[in-house]
Amino acid sequence: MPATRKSSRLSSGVGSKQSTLSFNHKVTKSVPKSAKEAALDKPSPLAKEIVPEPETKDEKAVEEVPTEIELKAEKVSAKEIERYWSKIDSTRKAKAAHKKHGEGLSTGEKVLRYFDVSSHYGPCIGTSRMKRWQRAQRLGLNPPIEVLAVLLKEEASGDKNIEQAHMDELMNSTAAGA
Amino acid sequence: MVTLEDVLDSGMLKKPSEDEPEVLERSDSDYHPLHTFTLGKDLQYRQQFADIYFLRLTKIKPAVEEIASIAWEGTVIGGETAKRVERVLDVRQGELCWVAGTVYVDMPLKPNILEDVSKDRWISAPSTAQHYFSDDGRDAVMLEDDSGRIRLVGSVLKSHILVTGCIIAAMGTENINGEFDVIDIQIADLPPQPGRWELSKPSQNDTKKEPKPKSEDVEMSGSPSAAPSKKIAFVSGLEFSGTDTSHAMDLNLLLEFLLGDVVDPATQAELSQISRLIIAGNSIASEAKEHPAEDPAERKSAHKKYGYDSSSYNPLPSQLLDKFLSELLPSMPITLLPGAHDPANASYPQQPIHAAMFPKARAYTVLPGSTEPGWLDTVTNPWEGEVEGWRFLGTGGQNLDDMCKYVPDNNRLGLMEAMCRWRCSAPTAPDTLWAYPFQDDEPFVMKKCPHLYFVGCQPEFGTRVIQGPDGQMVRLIAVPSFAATREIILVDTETLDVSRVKIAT
Repeated sequence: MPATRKSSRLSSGVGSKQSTLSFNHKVTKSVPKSAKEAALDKPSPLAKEIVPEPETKDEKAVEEVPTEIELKAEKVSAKEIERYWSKIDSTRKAKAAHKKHGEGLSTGEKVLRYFDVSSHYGPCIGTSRMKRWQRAQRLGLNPPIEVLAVLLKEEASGDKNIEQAHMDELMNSTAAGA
Repeated sequence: MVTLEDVLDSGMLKKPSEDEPEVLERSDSDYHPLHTFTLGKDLQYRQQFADIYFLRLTKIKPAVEEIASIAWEGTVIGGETAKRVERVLDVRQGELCWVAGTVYVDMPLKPNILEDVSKDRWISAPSTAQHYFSDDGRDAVMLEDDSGRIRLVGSVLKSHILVTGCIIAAMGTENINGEFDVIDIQIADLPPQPGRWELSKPSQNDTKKEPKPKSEDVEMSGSPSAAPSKKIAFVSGLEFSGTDTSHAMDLNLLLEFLLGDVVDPATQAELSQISRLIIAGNSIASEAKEHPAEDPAERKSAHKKYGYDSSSYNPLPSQLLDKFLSELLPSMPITLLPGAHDPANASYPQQPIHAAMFPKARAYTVLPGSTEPGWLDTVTNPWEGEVEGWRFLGTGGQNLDDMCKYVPDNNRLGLMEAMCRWRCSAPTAPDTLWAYPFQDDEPFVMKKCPHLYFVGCQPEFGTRVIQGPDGQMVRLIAVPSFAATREIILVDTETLDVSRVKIAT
């Protein structure tokens, strides 16, 4: 609530004949935009300076040094991803029936979901796909580089949904509803 | 009037002697703690515990499979060669094969959260000192990996120690009941052992010994090993208590013993070789039981603030511990591991006891964030570090006590040996031992074999040396609880020989 209430009450209580300042129409003084922003920013850099500096430094450190494997993954083309997927798909016997389920999904999403259910790399619940891939890489399990390629591509396009495994989403949604 | 000078020659009175008293210096300690078990600041608890099992299996499985394939290569039983199968569920009936996985022991006496929830009971603390082992065959040993679980049967199982969480390779065949009939079991055995002085360098301390006129024979060869060998003292279960004073006198005597106050100069020279004291848990006694004198109604009306009854807090135990430490610290560096009863977090790995608990001894710790270990080093439980070049691994006893509930006999040294050979220092975590849900790396897997493995707060002393296939040698020490046995352990740093000292009134 604007602070006008108190002032108006006081002035009216005193019963002064002076014309009171009314802030009903003019809330903010019209000020050129740049000056306003500068005024807003001035106190905050003092507070912000200490905290975001290490954060931005960390972010920069992570972004500036993409690992060798990430560079390799970025070079993987969409065609190679398709080829990888069709190799997995061809080993499956129940192709015709399951194609119906996978209709709405892009190949990238199919590749990621196949990675999720590969229990060889550990449980997919409770961790993001990227972290799971990196953990598998660190433990020497040789996770397919196509999966990293899809993850990086999706990350670049700004899609946040692919971070969580689909199974994880389903499990969490039932927990919320219960 | 008789003056002093007149009486001096008679032999009864003497002037103080002119020569300076011996000042013995304590040997210094070469110390390099590792932070293997330190948890970070921002901990997530969203994840499941399955990651711990996955990490453990992935890290130990290659080693187990290597040992198993060497042991069972070309084994022919009943005309059939043993084959390796990739996953536990790939075993086929009638086929002789071997597979590696995690052991899970299903015991009806184990605390089961599903049972409690179904019976509408709420457990707030883990049940203690309860034996899970039931003799009548209700316990089922199973082998598990990411594909599934299979039950193990066979007389071979009785001759091996098996607890939940250890990684084994089992050879056998599936019988008609769907159970795996085991013929032989292999484990990873001791991990590679680093050499002495891997992380730190020996300090040149023979120059310090020269000015001492009464020192033991010091060869003038100049090598550091010529100095009289140092000792490290181990104690656990000091159990400072506000109510129980049965061992208070012995604690005082222990302090005087370590400081060398009450012993003769020859013993003092020996004591000055003790370069470090390691306290392995349970420095503060667990809370006394309900006061029988107080009325339960009276207690309820006591001043309660936000549901916490502050009048029940007794600061005396930690004050006594603080006093003990601050008197000993000027003379000797101390490494303090928390135990089951100490004011640290309840789940494994326990984080160091906060320096705020020791207002006096705090002066000897370092500021948080410093890289150098302090004179008083509060460390995690379990703890890994390099002392005098030897790699030490030690715990406060919870892992061993928990494992003892799985086996019928109280063979503690056997269990310690098994832990080393399984390469896992806390196999029962997280099943019956509360643990943090590790996701990226599980620190309980021993990557390097320690030279000395000690477990504190044990009911009695025990020691053994075990040998590994690559020439590794590990000294196992079960450090007895001081409150129960009044004993402390001294370990010689050159030979890793163990001697026991009993403080008795």
